[in-house]
Amino acid sequence: MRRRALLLVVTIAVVAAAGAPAFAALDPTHAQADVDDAMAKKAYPFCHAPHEPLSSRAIDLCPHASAIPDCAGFAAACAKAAAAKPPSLPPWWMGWLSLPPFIGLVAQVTVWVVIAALVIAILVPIVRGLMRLRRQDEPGAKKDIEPARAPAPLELEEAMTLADEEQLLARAHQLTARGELQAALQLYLAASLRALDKRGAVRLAKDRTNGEYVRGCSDPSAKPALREIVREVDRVQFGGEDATQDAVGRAAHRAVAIVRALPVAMMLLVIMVCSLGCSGASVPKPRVAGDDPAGDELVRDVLTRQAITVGSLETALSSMPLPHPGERTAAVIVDMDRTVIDDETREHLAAWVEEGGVLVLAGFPPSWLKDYGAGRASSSGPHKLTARRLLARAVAPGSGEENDDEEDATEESAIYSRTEEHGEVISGDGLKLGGPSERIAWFDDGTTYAAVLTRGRGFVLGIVTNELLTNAGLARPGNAALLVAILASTSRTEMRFADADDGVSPPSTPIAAMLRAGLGMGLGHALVFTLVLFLAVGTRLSRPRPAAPPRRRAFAEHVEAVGALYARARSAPHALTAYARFADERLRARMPRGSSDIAAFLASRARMPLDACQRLWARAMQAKAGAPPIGDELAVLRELGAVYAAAMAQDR
Amino acid sequence: MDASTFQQTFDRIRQQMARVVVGQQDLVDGLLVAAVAKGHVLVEGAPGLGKTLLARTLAVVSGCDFKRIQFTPDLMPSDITGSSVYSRETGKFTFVPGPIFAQLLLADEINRAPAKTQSALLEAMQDHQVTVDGTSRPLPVPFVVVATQNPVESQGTYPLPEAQLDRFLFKLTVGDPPPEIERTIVRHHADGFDPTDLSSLQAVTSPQEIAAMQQLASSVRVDDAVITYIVELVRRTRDDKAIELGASPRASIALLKSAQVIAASEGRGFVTPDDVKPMVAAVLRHRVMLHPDAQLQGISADERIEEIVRAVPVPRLAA
Repeated sequence: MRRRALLLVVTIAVVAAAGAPAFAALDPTHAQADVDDAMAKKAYPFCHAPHEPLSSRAIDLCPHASAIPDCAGFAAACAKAAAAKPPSLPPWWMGWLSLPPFIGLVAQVTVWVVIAALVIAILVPIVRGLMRLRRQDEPGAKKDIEPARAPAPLELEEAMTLADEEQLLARAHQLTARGELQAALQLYLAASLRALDKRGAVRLAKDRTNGEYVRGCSDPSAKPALREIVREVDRVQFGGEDATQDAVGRAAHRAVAIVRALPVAMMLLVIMVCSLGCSGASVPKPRVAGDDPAGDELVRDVLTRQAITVGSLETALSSMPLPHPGERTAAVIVDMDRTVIDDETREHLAAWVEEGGVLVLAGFPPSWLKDYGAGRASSSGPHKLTARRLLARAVAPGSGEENDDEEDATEESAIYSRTEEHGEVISGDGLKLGGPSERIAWFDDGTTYAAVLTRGRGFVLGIVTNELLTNAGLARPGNAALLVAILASTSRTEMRFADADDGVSPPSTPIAAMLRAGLGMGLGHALVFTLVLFLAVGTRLSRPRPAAPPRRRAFAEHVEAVGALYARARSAPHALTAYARFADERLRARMPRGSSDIAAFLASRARMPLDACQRLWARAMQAKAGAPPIGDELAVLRELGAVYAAAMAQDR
Repeated sequence: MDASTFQQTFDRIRQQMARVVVGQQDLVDGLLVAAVAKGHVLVEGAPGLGKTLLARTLAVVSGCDFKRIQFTPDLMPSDITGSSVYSRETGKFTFVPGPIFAQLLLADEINRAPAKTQSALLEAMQDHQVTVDGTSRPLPVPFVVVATQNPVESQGTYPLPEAQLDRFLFKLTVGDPPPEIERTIVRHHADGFDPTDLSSLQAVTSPQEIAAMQQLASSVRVDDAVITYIVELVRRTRDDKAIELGASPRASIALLKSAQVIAASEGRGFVTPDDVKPMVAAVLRHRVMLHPDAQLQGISADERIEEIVRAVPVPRLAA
């Protein structure tokens, strides 16, 4: 009765039947024949010549080696790997092992400090330059004291600034050939200076003399040659001597040596070598398809032979479109030991399954979606497995699943095939699920190995280990039928394997993408190279600092310095206020009794017109310290000083 | 004398002076260039920086007569030039030459004497002669005035008038020596060096040789482009709005003469802009008068001169 009542509540959805195409595609009965045929025809090298050294995953599969026919190569590699165990470390060495993380932290902090310092070193001159430009743009007295504009630059200066050094050399050669030796000599010098300027060894400027270029040349290898060229040029230009063919030839030889020197190429080479060295790149032994016992080439091959469309997932797991109601999407197989999935992907997978997706999770149950409640359970006894195909499963009413067939109903609501397949695995891990599930494969002691968990309109096929999805695991006799029986439960004719990096959601920024792609080191190198380039080439644009003022200061210099301080602080109103108060105090002390008009007193003493003096005095008394400058403060201060001096001269 | 002899003699004097005057190479060079360029030098610096020692050393090394006048407010012009004194035996006035009749004259603290006394030097410095009682008397050859002044004290001093300043070929400033140089100076004294006794120095040249060097330096070739460069540098001081009074053509000539000596000291028979540039500040700094506004803004003459030098393109041939 209970069963009938259950059947009343639950609609039996037959998602696959023995005669349906999907189940016809995955037939365990000829799975082993497919494996044998594939091994014979394709001669997968994982068995006779596996890639060495074996990976840790491959080493875990070593117990299969003896059970697989004609797999001596894999067995030998396993023996070699077992013999080459790392030597045990002495106890004192263990303390040192804790150092690398600390050193790494220190190195990281150092790198960031250096980067910050470099950024500041770049930004400070830029900001100062901008501020200087801003100050220059402001209307004020500074502009008035600028010298007259420099005359138009000479042609040679233009040539040095605009033309490429190779072009200058070529033109100089042409002039030499035409017999214009004097001009050619100049151009050889220009080409040399241009090349050195590009390297940052000299800084081109209109006011620099040839001798200054030589003395200021920071490339010691180029300095003697440049000196010789300059000597020849000066001899001709200022010494009034004729340029001889020999002299021009020598200058040409030296100019070519300077222009086509190799320091830049050497620097690039060193940086490239450093880049390779820093990343610790070593040339790995080339891999051959199918040479890894832990690979999945044989699995794909067998599934293809079982009329399954097999391929890699062409998008990230988190980017898979949600299935539409009734849509039969491809089953997605995720090897959880290989594909690490992040939280965002986990959430998307849950929604994807709820909407009707079929997900096969293999290996490491604790990393599965949390609401599945998956965990490990240990089995006892031999690790022999039994599996049967799930032909139909129970789904809630209205879930959208189709009822295909009701063949071979069992004691449960789900329908299983009567035939069972047997195989053997290495790991004794069993599967424990948090909710109701349909068991597909189990150990001899009854511990679950694989089960189907229904979620919404879709379901998850969970396999506790990924052994059966590996070349070595599948090649063991009996395991192929086992895997086919398990995968047949998905009732899908198309299966997609997730790659190792499919479990990570796409990066949000280009930099994050580069870092994820392992280009972080390269990005760092590029940044450092850019900074080095900037410092090497950009420094020639830097402005020389003015010389420090003399330490000793006379009284006059002290007054000048105070004046300069006022000017820099834009405190002219303060200066005028202070002087006006001083004059007011002194004049009041000298005024006759009963008089209160200081302007009139000042005008009479200084012998200047009363109205002009009144205007001047009123303006001076208006000044307030801290008020924004109007612009006439210095002029008023100067005039008041003169008038006051004239007035006080009466007393002397 | 040829160019190589000039260069050797110049280097010899320089090396000999460097034995005594430590760490003041620019000052030594400036003084030497001025002496060969028939010019006079105004040295400004705080007391104790070796100004007097420098002049005495040059006198010893060059074999020139040396006289020193300590300028004071009560110094009279006749105390410098000399005067006619009545001789009872002969019943005539005879001229007693003053200390100015020396080949190397050190006018110590020149700004302590009033303008009247300072002016006694004007004719001597410009025309190399002294007129007393209507009679002009030539001064010995070479004739070099090395005047010093202290920039720190301003009370009781008489600033040199512009006309007087213009007579000086160079104004050299002496700064504090760096610590390592000062240590060397003190070490010399600890080892027994006595600045009042320069007998350890030997004369490496003679006044006649100096005169020959002067002759050779004046014959060094100067290209028109260099002359244009010199004139442009000096003219800029007159156009600069921070400068109230620019340098006179005498400054251009001074620049030319000093550049000729520099070129000759390097064994060259022609002047390049590279010989001119290092002399610009020394030649112009005392010849320009800054505008009060510029002074109030803390701008110095050296800064403006540096800006001017930076703004004037160096002559080059067009390619």
